[in-house]
Amino acid sequence: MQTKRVLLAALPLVMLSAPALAHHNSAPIYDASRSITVEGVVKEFRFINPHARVYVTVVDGKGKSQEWLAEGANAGVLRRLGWKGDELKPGDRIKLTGAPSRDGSPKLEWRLITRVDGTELGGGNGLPNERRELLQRLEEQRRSQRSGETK
Amino acid sequence: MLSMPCWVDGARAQERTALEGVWSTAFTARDHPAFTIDDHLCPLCAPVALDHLRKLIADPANDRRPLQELAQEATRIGNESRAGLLTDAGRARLKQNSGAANDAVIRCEPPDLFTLIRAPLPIAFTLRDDHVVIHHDFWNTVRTIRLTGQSAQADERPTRLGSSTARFEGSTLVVETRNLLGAISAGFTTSDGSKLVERWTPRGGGRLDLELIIDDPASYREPLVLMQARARTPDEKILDLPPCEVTSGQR
Repeated sequence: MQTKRVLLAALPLVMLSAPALAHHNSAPIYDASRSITVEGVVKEFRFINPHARVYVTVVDGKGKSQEWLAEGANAGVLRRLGWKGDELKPGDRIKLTGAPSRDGSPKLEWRLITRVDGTELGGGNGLPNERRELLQRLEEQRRSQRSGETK
Repeated sequence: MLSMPCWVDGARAQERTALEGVWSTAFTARDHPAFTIDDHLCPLCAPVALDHLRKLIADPANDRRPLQELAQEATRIGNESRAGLLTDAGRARLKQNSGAANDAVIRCEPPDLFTLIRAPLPIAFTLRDDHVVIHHDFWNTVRTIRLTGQSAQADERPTRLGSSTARFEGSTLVVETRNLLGAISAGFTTSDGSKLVERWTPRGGGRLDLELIIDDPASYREPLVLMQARARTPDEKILDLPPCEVTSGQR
């Protein structure tokens, strides 16, 4: 299966995750102020603690392949979001977006996983994608409450 | 032998009913109606930050500001407040140990008590005549704590989880822990000899409020207070997952 790295440029990032949510500090490993996207083929998905991880084979424009590690949320947290541990299978082609490693090694802390068909999986450490949706809902709740107060 | 008045037994039974069961945070039970907007925005919050956040949300002048921005402002207030309480020794310890190599959770080591309590995963309370069992989903940790009605004594060898005693003050379960080893975790530090007090108060609507007090004069000039809300989740279970298999960031 052909794979390729689609984007490896560092982008400035508006933080969506709340530091207070983290019960440990991954900042020394991953640079949450930056975002990269890599595309590849799942080699292995491990539904474990302290973080679920996916190993992805990424092939660059020159045909050189490299194995990337991506880490997400705690398996216990993902279970509560409805994950079962079979969301990713070897051979699945995915796009990973997240915070790159500080040491430049091929790993990232994912924020979003996108399948070939465009469907998105969140499940990143601190649940940044889910938090974005939650914030939208809370904004609606806030407007609704304000509207109730002014009636 | 003294016998317990029947109304005391009745009151205790009510306290137990109110507290027993599984409780989740807004992180894993996002749709629970017991949670308010500020519970989601500031899930482990210093009172000063929580007050600030509530005022920001209540003020119509902030209606055009995104909630995320208000949460960040409140978090900053809380962080500044905590930093202001640090002693020189506490500040130095935090600075020296800010790397991943010094974070026990990242090293895949069993958590200290503070890290265990603040973990945003479910916990289950079981009450018996003379003890309470708190089962934490995080690291599948079980704490069995005697209901002695007395404070914990600072006279034992320090350990990760220390030695705890518990008592009821009305409907509030108060757990005091001493003989703790110092720890560093995600911007917090505690030193050997600190005392942790957990005050668990069930509220109406399936809500449980935790007031966590870190009494550690070596690290903080005043006791550090943090608030966390939980909601009753009867369909939830404590999962029996392996707690930690691979150190974060390592292949």
